[in-house]
Amino acid sequence: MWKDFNEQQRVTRILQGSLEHDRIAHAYLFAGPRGAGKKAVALQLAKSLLCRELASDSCEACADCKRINGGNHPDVHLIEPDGASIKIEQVRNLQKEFSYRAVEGNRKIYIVDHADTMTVQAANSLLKFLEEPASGVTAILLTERVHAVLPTILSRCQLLTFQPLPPDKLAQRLIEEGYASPVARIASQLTAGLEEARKLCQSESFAQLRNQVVQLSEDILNRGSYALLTIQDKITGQDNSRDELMLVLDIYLIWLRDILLWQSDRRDLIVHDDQQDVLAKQALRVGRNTLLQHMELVLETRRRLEQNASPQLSLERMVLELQEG
Amino acid sequence: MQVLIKRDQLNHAVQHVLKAVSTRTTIPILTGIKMLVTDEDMTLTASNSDISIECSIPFEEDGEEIVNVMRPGSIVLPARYFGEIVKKLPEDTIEIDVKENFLIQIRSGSSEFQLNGLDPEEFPRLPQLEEEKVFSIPADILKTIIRQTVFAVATTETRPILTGVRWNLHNGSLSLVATDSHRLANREANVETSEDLSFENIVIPGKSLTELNKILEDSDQLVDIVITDNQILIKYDKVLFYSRLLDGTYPDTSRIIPQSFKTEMVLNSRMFLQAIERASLLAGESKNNVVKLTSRPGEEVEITSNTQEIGKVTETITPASIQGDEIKISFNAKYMLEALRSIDSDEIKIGFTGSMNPFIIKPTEHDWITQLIVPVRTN
Repeated sequence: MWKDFNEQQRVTRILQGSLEHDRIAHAYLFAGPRGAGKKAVALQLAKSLLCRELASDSCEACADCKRINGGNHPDVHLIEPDGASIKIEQVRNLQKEFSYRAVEGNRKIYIVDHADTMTVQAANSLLKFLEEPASGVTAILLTERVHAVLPTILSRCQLLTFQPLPPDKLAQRLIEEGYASPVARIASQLTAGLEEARKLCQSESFAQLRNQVVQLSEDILNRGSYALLTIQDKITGQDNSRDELMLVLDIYLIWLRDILLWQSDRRDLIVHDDQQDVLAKQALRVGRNTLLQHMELVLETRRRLEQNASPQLSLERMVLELQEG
Repeated sequence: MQVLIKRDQLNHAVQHVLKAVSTRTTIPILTGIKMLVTDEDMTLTASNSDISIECSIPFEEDGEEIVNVMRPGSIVLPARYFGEIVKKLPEDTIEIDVKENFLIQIRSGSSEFQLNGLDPEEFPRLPQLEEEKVFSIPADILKTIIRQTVFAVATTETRPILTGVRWNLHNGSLSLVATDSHRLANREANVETSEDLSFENIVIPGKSLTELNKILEDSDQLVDIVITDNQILIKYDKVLFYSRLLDGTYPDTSRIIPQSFKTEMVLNSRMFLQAIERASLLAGESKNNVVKLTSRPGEEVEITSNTQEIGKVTETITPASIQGDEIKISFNAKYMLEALRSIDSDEIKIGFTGSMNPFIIKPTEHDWITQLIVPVRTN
C-alpha cells in the first residue's frame, strides 16, 4: 500500500495524485540509485492499477495483488537483462505480447528493469512502442544511470527521479532497528537505500572490514612495511571478493574524510564517531593537502579495481604511493 | 482436496489441456495445470496466456463412476511431470490428495508420488461468460472455414493485426477474412444465432486457430462460440478453448475485392492446380515463385515460367469457358496453389480486371469462398 512507501515521498505523491485523477502517463522512467526502491514502487503502481478492491491503491489481499507479488500476473510483464543487456529478442516478445488484448482486464503493464542496458536495437524497437502507446498500456522503465538511456526514449517518458535517502536519516533508522551506531553510520554512507544498508549491517565481515581499515590507516601513517603486511594478511589474503575490496576502499575514503572533518572542526559530521581519539591523533600528523592527495589516490585505486587490475598489486601500489606523499 | 479418479479419463483430459501449456514462459504459474474439484464438477485448465484450454471430467459416464470426490478443492499441478506420471501409473484408479502447503500426493496401486504444487489463486482467471452472446456452428464446418482462411494470415510481425483472422457476424452470417496484404482469403458461413447478435472486428490469432483445428474433429456436432471483450471461447464437447484476441483495427478489405471483371474464365481446378504446380517447379524461390498466365479469347490458356539460369516451362490448359479481353498476368505460384487447395470444388472461376489489379478465384458452385491474389509486376 502507498502508505508503506514513505521514503520517496515526492515520487509516491505524484503517482498517487495521478492515480486518483486517473491521469496515469503511458510511460514512466524511474531513475535513481540502487536500493532507492524503484522496483518496489513500480510494482506498487502496477498493483494499484490492477487491484480490484481499491481504486488507486493496492489491498494486498485480492488475487491481483497477490499474483503481482508472486510474479504470476498474466498482464504484468517484467523484463530484466538477459546476461549483461536487454536483447532485442526480449523486446520483440514483448511487442508480440502487446499486439494481443489483455488476458484479464483491459490494462497491461510492463516493467523494464535496468533500461539503460538495452542494446541499441532493443531500445529502438521499444521506441516505436513508446511512441504509439496502445490504450491501457503502461510502461515503467527503471534505471540507475539515466544518462545512459537513449535521449529518444527519455523524451517519451515521464521522468521521476528517486532521491537517495539522506545518510543521516538512513543511519538513524538503522540504529532504531538495533544495529551498532558506527556500523550503521558507515553503511548508510555507502548505500542509497534502507534495504541495502541493512544488508551491509547484517553481513558478518562488514564490521571486521572497518576494523581492518582503521588498522591499515595507522600502519600507513607509521610508514615501514607493516601496511603491506596488513594488506597481505588481513585484506587480500582473506579471500575477500572484489566487492569487499571496493568496500574497504570506500570505508578508507570515509575515514580520510573524517580526518579532514576533524581538522575543519566539523566533528558533528564525523562518521567513525567511536574512533575519535585515533582520528584526533591522525589529524595532527597529516596536512590538509596530503589528505586530499590521499583521497585522490584511493579513488584512483578504486578505478583500477573496477577495471579488473590485480587487487593485491593495486593495493600495494596505493600503500607505497600513500607513504611517499 | 481429495479425489479418486479413473486414470484413462484423467489422462485423456490432461492430454487435451497439455496443448496449451507453455514450455518457456516468464510467468511461473503457467507451467502448471489447474485442477478444480467442486461437488458437481471437475475441470482441468491450462494456459499459455495466448490460448487456454479447459477440459471437464464428468463424474459418471455410462453408469460407471469416474470421479469420487472425498474433499473438494483446487490445486495447480506441474504440467510436465503430472502428464508423464498419469500416463505411467500402474492401476486404473488414481487417488489425488492435496495436503498443506500445496503438497500433492498421488497414489495408484503400489506407487506413490509427492509433488510440489502451486497456489491455485495465482492462476489466470478465464473470462466470465455471457451466455446470450452465443452462436453455434457444426464442428466440421468450423474446421473447414478455418482451414480455408488461416493459411493467408501474415507470418511476419510487421503488422501484428494481420497475423489474425477477422471474424464478423451480421444477420446470422459469419464472415472470415485473412490477408497478408499480398493475397486475401474470404469465407462466409451461416451460423445458428439469435437474431440480434452481431459483432465486427474480432481478430483471432492465426496460431490459435491452427491449434483449435487440431482439437476439433470432423463431426457435425454443434460447437458453441462466445465472444467476450478480450477473448473468444469455443465450446466443443467437454473442452472449452479460449483464445486471446488481437488488439487493433483490422483494415477494411471490402473495397479491395473487385465486383466486375474484364476477363472471366472457368477452369477445371485439378488440372489448373497441377499445371501451376509444374510451372512453379522452375520458378525459383528467389524470384517470388513468379508464373505468368496468358490468355487470348478463343485460345487455350498458357502458363509459363522462365528463370534464366534454370530454364523455361510452358503449360497449356483448355478452359471450360472464357469471356472478355485478353490478359497477361504474373503472380506468385505459392499463393495460387494455396488458394486452389483451399477451394474444394471441381471447377473454379477466375475473374481479372487488368494485369496490374488483384484478381479473384471462386468456386463455380457457390459464393461462400473468395480468394484474392495481388499480381506481381514484371516487365
